[in-house]
Amino acid sequence: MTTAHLILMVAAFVFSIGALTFFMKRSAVVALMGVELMLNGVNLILVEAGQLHHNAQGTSLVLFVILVAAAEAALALSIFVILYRKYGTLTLENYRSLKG
Amino acid sequence: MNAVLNEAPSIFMWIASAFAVFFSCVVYWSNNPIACAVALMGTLFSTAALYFAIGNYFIGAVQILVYAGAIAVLFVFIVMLLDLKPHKLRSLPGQGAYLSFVTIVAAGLAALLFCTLAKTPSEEAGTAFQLSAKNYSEYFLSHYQVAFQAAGLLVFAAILGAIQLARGHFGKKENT
Repeated sequence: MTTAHLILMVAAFVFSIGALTFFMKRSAVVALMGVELMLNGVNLILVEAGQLHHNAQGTSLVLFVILVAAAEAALALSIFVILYRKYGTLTLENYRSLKG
Repeated sequence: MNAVLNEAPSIFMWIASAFAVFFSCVVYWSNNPIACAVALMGTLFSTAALYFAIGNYFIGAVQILVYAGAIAVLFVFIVMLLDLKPHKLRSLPGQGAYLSFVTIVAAGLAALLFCTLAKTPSEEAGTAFQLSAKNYSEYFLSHYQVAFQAAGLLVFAAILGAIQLARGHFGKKENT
């Protein structure tokens, strides 16, 4: 097994655990942590692909992913604070009234 | 293929990978939100260690500064601010179906990645590839100028949105 294989396996595992966390957890904050884990797995694959092809494309995309993740986390956590003030909980089941 | 990536993993890489896998499992299995947030931070640090190990020091530093240093700390801050209780973090029922679905997705993703890796041209095998901040910034600002500006606008919009949300005017009537 080479380092490339090891990193690919770790990336696939981290992405899958992130997906599982996003689908399974009741709390909105922990579901968002699952999204961050998924993005982290994608970042690993992008960096490795860039290294394999000897260019900076993968690394550039990773920088954009990190930037989007930071903006997303800041906005999502602000929205969670508003939702907590309004509903008194962050359990996703209690937000069914938002469906309209 | 990159020299480091084509070699057998070092002990450091095995340890960093094991920590990444372990901490990501803790994020899923723990019912304590603080433990989840700290485990997320551990996963991000372990991933940064992997970046350092394969020679991409710039992204490793950015990962520690932005991801682990800002985003994960923001998670810890929000969890402590809202005082989330562990019993509300239990998983939803019907876990078996999701578990099997995610296992299939993980296996398919790993197989697809391995097939892609097998087809990667290896004519540059053995040559070291170090991506320094200097040549990376030259590449980034010459190929992604427009996207970089758009990303700056996105961050600006996110800051404005977060400030507006934090002021707490949403859902309240204006007192005139």
